Amino acid sequence: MPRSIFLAFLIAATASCAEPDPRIAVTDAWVRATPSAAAAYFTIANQGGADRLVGVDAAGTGRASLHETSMGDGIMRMRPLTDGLELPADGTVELKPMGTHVMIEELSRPLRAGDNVDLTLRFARHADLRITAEVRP
Amino acid sequence: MTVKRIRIALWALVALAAAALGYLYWQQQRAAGPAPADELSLTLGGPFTLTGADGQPFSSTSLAGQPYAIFFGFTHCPDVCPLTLARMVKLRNQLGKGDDALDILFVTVDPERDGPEEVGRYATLFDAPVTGLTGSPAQIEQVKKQFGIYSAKAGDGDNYSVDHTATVLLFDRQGQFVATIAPEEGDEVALAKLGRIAA
Repeated sequence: MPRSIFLAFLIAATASCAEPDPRIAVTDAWVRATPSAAAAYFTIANQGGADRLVGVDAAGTGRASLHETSMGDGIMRMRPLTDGLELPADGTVELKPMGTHVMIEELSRPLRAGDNVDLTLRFARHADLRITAEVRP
Repeated sequence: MTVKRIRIALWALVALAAAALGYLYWQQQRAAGPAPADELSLTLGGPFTLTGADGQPFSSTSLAGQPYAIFFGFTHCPDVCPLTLARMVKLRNQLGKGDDALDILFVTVDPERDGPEEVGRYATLFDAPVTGLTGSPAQIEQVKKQFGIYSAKAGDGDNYSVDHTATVLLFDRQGQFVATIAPEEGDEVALAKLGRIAA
């Protein structure tokens, strides 16, 4: 093999070892719906290198954005996560009630228990993932 | 200077610092003015008039003789608010005395977006009687004060959130405040408190 190609191969191999790709699986997706807004929750398992969830789309259902609920002194606050959500390497992040969630507003149709909501998750590094979340009563 | 003298001097400095802090605190309290009587007293609640889901005036007199749990939230809140109301409904069921055991009231802190129709629709989510209430901004502010509730708009534009006290307040048949249920309290504790007002 010509030396230049061998060197290039070596560099590529080393580079990918230094920064592993994220390997992401999304499970347990569900939605709680109210007339004006809905909240989507799911678990993100990342078995690879660190990544970031930068946005969620709910085309066909409404306008989606990542939010975080926080409680302090008995006061509830909800804030948009404009920088997205960190997904540490080899880690699991849970979106759950009273915590991080996807808020879906401007609902195009009333959501009822049993309905399915299609969500597209966008990441800094990983490719987009499409998931389906079921509306729970 | 002996060690003893140094020690005395240091303790004197500590005493001085404590005195200075005490003075500053006292000054600050004085500057804030005397606290209004209703903030100091524990008489939470009191008579109020709001608007029901049917658009008609809702007077607190209709609660006479009935225990109730009151929660303040807003309909553009799909996380904590429905969770709290669903939990109250579930606990009321667990009391085993039927839906009449106590009233569950949901009062909006977002009267701009939540009119009678919005709170009415929200209240029907729970498959059990929940009374949704709204009102004019002035009426809502008045009721918030009476129930010791904090709320504030957060964010700009049309898609604002509203920070708000997430505690549920419990009142007995005489309309007297009895207890609170905080979101982090367990179901067992919460159920016991509901049992007290529904007795």
